[in-house]
Amino acid sequence: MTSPNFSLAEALARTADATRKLGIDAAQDLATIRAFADGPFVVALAGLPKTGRSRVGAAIASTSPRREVLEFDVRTIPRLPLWDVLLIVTPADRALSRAEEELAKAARQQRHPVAVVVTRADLLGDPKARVSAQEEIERFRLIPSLGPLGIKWFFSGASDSLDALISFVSQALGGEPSVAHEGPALDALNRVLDTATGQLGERLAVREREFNVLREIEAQLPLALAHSEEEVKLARLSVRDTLRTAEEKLFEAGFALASSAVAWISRGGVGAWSDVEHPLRAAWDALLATAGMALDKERLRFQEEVLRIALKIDAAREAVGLAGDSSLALSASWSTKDFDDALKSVGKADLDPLFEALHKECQDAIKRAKEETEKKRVVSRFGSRLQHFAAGPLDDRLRTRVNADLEAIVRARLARLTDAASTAAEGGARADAAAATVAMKERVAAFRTALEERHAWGTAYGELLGLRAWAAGARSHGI
Amino acid sequence: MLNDADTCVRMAIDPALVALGRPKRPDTLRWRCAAVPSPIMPLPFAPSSFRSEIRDHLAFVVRVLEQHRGLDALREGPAPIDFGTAAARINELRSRYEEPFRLAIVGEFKAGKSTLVNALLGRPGLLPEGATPTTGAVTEIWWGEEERGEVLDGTGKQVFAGTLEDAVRFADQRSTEGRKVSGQGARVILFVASDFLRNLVILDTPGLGANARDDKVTLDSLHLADAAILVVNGLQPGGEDSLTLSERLRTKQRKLVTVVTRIDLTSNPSDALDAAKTVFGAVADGDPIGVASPVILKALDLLKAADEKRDQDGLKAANELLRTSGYLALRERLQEGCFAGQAAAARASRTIADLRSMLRGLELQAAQEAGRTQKKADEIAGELSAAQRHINEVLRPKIPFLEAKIDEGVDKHIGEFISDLGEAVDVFIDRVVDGGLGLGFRSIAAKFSSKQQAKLNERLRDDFRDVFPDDQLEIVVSQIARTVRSLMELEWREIATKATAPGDTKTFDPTGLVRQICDHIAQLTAAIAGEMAAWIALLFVPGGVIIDVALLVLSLGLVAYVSGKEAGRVSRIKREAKVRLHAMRRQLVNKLADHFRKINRDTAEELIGRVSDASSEKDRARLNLLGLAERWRAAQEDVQRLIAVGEEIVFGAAA
Repeated sequence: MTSPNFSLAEALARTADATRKLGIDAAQDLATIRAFADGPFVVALAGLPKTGRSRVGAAIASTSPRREVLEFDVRTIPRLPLWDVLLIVTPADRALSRAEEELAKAARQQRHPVAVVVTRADLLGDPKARVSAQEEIERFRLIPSLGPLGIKWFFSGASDSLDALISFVSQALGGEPSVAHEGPALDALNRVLDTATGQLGERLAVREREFNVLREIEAQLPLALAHSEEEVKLARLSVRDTLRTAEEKLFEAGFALASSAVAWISRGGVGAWSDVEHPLRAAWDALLATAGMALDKERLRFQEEVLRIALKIDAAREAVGLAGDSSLALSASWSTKDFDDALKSVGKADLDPLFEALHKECQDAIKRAKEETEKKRVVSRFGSRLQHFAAGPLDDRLRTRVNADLEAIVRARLARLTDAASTAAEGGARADAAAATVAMKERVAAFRTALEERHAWGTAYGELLGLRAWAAGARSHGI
Repeated sequence: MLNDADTCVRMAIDPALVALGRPKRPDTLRWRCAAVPSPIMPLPFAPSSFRSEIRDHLAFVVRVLEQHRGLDALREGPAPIDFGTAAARINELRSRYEEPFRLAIVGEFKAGKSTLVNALLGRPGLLPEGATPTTGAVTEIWWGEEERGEVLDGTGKQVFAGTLEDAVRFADQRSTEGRKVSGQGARVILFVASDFLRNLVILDTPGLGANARDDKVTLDSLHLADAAILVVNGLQPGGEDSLTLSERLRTKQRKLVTVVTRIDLTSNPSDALDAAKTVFGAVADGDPIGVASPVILKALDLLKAADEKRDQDGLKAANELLRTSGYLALRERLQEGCFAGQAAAARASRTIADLRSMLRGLELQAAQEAGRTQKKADEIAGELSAAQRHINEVLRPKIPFLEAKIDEGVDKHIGEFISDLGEAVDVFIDRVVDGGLGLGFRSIAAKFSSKQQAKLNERLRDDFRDVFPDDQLEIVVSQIARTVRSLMELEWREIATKATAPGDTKTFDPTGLVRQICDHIAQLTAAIAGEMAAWIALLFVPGGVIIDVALLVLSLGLVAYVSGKEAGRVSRIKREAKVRLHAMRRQLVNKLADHFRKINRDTAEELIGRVSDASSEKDRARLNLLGLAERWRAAQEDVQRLIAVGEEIVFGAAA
């Protein structure tokens, strides 16, 4: 922010620096202001040609070498009001046109010393007619228009003296030129600053829009991180759930095996025993497959979700024309030694003893049933007896047996696998989430940096705003 | 009606004009008869044979335009001309068509306009002159045998009627009366007995460049004029205001004669004329004419005296003076350019041209408005279709996407919950086993009454709470809520940021939407915890999993426990309980996820609703615009037809 104590020269230098940074061409204007600030008094004469303007100018210039006279047409007013006194020259036969009146008003509003010089009084006729005409001009034109503004006027005809006007100018230019120049130079500087800041309107709108995108992403970042944290928990739960579900299916298959075995007994052992074993064997194979893939499958799902979240930042960057980086350095595997060992342990589990013992028991059951039937010689009722035998306590016993065998063979191994898998999943997911968090934070920070670099002109723009405020304040209270 | 005569013009005034208090023209005009033709004689003016046809056409045009007047209020921003203004102007055109030729005197302020008028009329001091701008209102000067004046305000209402001198004061903005009407659109009408005014109405105007109010009055008066004299100050010929004004006259197809005043005061008259020619040559008819108004007055005085004395030399001298003063050249220019030959036909043509110009302006505007309105409707249609696309391609697909994610989150948490529940059942069964020993339960359980059974169930439920407290439910519900909230907050915030109303760049407030989601989920957690408690309670009703396994275990018998032979069976029962609980999982997941799905759908619908509401509003606006575009097109077609009919009339007149 600009200091309230610096000089006009410093303000001009700062403006030059800021506008250069902004790519705004204000050098010529600033040089003109600087030249004016360092130069002699300037008396501006505004009026149409052939109105005696030059004669008035020559008279003013002749009174002091320290006065420079600047003449211009009221229709082509210089853009920068760099003069200490403004004299509006208007011919008596059409005194004070609208353009002249507006120029006088504008100068007054800017607190520039201003006066109106009515020339060519010779056009008003003989001296008597001139007096009457001057009275009319004053009454109907000058007093109504200039009176309320406190603007002085002077009549200057062919033979009139310009003494009063010269005296007015001398009074207005009292003191040093640098003091008199201060107000006009500040006004001119303000115009340069207004023009410069006005040119930045479109850039400001773009800046606002782009920073809004950034602010929104910054607002979404904590939500994204919270969501990642939840995903870590879900990863652990998911792996545990996958393995437990597979375990439940295995034990369901065990119960199904018991039922198949009972049916096989009731058929008197007719049919392939392998068909009886099949559901449990299939469930076991499925469990092994699931266990082998559970961690990787969850890793891929988790990483896909994390990447999806990270991509939101890239999409926002791309929306403002900045290249995004859609890659994330995530783990290629979550596997741990514990998990691998547990998996191997499960793989080594052997269900064959279970099948063999069951097969034997079933064969024994058939044999026992046969012997009992022969003893009682009730051959014709053998089938129904078998069915009765199998449907009752045998079914219950086989279910219990299969369950107990399965529990003995796999339960501990599966429990270890589930624990190892969930620990591995949680560890892997946490590591990946941490990596993603770092990457997302870095990307958002890089996004901010890129936008700030892109809109580095904002600092210079702020400097211009500060200078404008300073110039306005200095105009009111002095430098 | 006007009728041609060799040397005389007879004019019957329109009854409407009589009603306005204007004098009826004499049937026959007297002409001065002199050896040298009098320069003050009236300017001859010929009629058109298509007068009634043109008049009827003008009336018809007004009727048609009035039908489209309603569109004026529906146009965006100001228009150069609208149907109401055009109808009023055409009515004015129609009235004016019957009136004498109107010659406007225009120019910058203090150029000598009023002085020139006074000189042309041979009436020094008739119009106010001064060192400052004097003319503050348009002053119409008509022929009148009995001299008098009246003043009409901006609405046409008469505010003064009286002597010429009193009326003139209203034209002088330096006077009290003048200040009252200056800049208000008032017209000062003077009736003056000057032969120059036979067939002619002079409009003296406030000068340009003195102030904004006078500029407006002058520019507004131009449409009243048939031709204009642009008065340029010989001492200061240039002037952007004059150029603007003359350009405007040229585009309105008005004859424009440039007169350079104060030519007698310029050091080199030809320089002043050349300067005026340079500036106005392109817009004026012919070269500028240098005029010295005081000399004209003097010459007219001499002419009058010589005429009375029948002094031929005096007449010649006066005529010479009139020539050098520029009077004769000006009169000749007016005669040739504005009155002579096919002047009346030219006026008819001008009237039609004015009409055509207005109608073409209206047609262009109607076409532009129709196009603009249609374009807006199309733009809105585009915005609506973009909004609809956003709804269909972004918002709606997000619903099932998030529902799947919600299901997934709920499912994983419930999976863990069921697993924990299964373990609790294991512990519970072990406790039941221990408790059953003490109770000797097997022998009596079968004999329980339903009341005792209920009591037993209640006790079992209480026992189960010891191993699986109710706060477990709250924990899992809060975990589910957190997972779902984190997902929905992020996703819906992002979507809300991108959703906008059609044609609007401002997005909906994402913070409000996210807050709403959080509030809804917070309100939901208590209800879900209750629902889960109810689900747990179902495990303890007869047939419920836990009651079943408890009874099953208790039924195994005391001996079995003591011997430990039934451990395998108990283990099996526990596993079967887990399998049963697992089978119930989907139902619970669906039940709970439904609540979150509803919040998800409600959020989506709210966002869709916001976009749709804005779309409906936009769609109504679009339909209105389409209707409006249709009306503009109908108006354009009507105007086109009117132009075509006008062309036929011109063609007939030319033939």
